[in-house]
Amino acid sequence: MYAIEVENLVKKFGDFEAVKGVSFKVKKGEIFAFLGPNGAGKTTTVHILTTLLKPTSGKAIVAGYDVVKDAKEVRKRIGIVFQDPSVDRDLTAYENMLVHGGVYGLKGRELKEKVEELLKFVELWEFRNKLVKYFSGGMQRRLEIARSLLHHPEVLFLDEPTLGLDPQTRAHVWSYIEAMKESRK
Amino acid sequence: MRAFEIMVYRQVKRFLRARSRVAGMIINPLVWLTFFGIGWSRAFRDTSIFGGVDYLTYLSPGIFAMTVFNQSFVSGISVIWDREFGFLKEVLVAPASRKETIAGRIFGDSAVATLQGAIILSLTLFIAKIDIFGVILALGWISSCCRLLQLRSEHCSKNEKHGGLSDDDGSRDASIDFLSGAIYPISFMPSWMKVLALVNPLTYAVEASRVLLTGASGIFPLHQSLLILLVLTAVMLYTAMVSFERSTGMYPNKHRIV
Amino acid sequence: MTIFLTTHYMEEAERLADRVAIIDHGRIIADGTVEELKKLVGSDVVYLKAENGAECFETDLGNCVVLPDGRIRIDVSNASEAIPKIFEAAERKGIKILEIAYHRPTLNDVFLHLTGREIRGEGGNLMKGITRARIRR
Ligand SMILES: Nc1ncnc2c1ncn2[C@@H]1O[C@H](COP(=O)(O)OP(=O)(O)OP(=O)(O)O)[C@@H](O)[C@H]1O
Ligand SMILES: [Mg+2]
Repeated sequence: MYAIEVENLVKKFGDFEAVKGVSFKVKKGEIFAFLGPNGAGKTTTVHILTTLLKPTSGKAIVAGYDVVKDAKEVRKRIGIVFQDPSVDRDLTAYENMLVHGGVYGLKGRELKEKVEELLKFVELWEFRNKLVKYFSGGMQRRLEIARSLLHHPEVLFLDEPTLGLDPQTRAHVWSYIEAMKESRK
Repeated sequence: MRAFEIMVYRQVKRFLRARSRVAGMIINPLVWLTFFGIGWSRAFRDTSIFGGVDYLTYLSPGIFAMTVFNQSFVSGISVIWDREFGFLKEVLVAPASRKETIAGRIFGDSAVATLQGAIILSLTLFIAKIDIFGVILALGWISSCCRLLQLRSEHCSKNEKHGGLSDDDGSRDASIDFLSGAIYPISFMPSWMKVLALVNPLTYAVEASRVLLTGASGIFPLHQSLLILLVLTAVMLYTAMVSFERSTGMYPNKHRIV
Repeated sequence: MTIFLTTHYMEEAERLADRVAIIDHGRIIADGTVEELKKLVGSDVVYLKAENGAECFETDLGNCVVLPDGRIRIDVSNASEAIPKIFEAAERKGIKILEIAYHRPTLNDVFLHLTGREIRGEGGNLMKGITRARIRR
């Protein structure tokens, strides 16, 4: 029923409370947005939900598993596009996809077909053999989106997916997200 | 085993990608051997200084150990850059075993360093009197030790270092090379310098590969330098794993989910 | 697939999200569909200017007032549905509409209403955004 259930989540860094008791629920298949200014605690929340950061108190269930107690089960079921770039700059777009797939245990024909499908989806297939360090910010973002979909996540986290992109590229990324919503229900 | 395998693939790919660096890493040692080594070997007629071999033969194992050590240093740098560019976050949110992923990375980098050592050694065969049977042993053993030693020292110094480094910069303190007995014998050093040489891990790698490769008599018996390397490596492997896990997290340990 | 998205672009939340939570200083200060959130600051508003005079000729759609500058303001629940109805009413009564404009509350208005601040626009935060943008290249 719910893909994410968060109850009274608190995160303190020393004396500073970055997340002060947040509760919400996200239904399966829904697009849920956290809208807030800089420093509001968005990334901190995302990092807790994606098992990178331990909450000080409170509870978070993602895809049916507790993010602290069953982190590994959660990791199997989520994908994420981080706020800051996380591509492998010294590899090509194609190799980035292969490595990501490998880390998630995918291989062989299945992996190759999926990589092709997704690189075509984000319109990077023709640049697949180009080194990522020569990609524009928008292209890197599109690659990250494709990569995050490779292992069929049940819950996808997008942390400020269009931050710092020009308006045209932003609209582009939006259309991908809308297409994902349509086709991957 | 998939994560291990793919990390080896990644490390090797990334290395081969940096063509200019690959070339530099092979050309530099050859420049040393040819223009430094051949020149001085004609000046030093007295082979007893160098444990009974000519200077070129004395120098080659040193250059070999230095190359492998240097390559390991570059790999150490790339760990820092991975953190900087977020690749490690990717690994941390993935369900794959962290230990397996880290092991794959270390193995991949060792393979790269070993490959480089092999190239240097095979070229050295033509100019110096090297024992081919020592080559295999030296390659496997010395390479992996160097890799681990450097990994550790990188983690110790990561904070102050990475600021000044550019993407492909592999420069580092040359004193480690001079203080290892790679270029001139430790026995000629003044005693304060000798002390520094004895705490330099590269010294033992140079010593061991020299005895293995050339049969020259070293300052320690072979088993002693191998033993010291073994102990150092075991300690470093352990600390490398620990510090690797620590320094690759995005948050300090107390904030992390394992 | 479920998507959890964070953003500080209100257009982004409006365009993509089924549901939005507004977060500020570590707290969720409002939560709901975009429509629900906008209701917090009030309704859509239609402004019009009619030929010969200012008078509230249509009151069924919502509260109507004549502004000092002669324009007519109608608070409606949904501007895009109300505008055709206003035209119909005007035609029935033989009134010619010279100008029509409308305002719909944005999520930025919601944020402003709840916190007294704009979601963007504080100098320091803006700089932070710019630095981040540069890092991405
Ligand atoms: N590791 C940390 N140690 C201490 N404070 C932190 C740490 N990470 C984040 N914070 C603080 O927590 C607060 C929330 O940060 P967070 O990154 O979650 O904000 P955000 O909503 O993602 O903002 P942005 O739009 O800048 O990405 C900020 O004030 C930040 O300085
Ligand atoms: Mg953030």
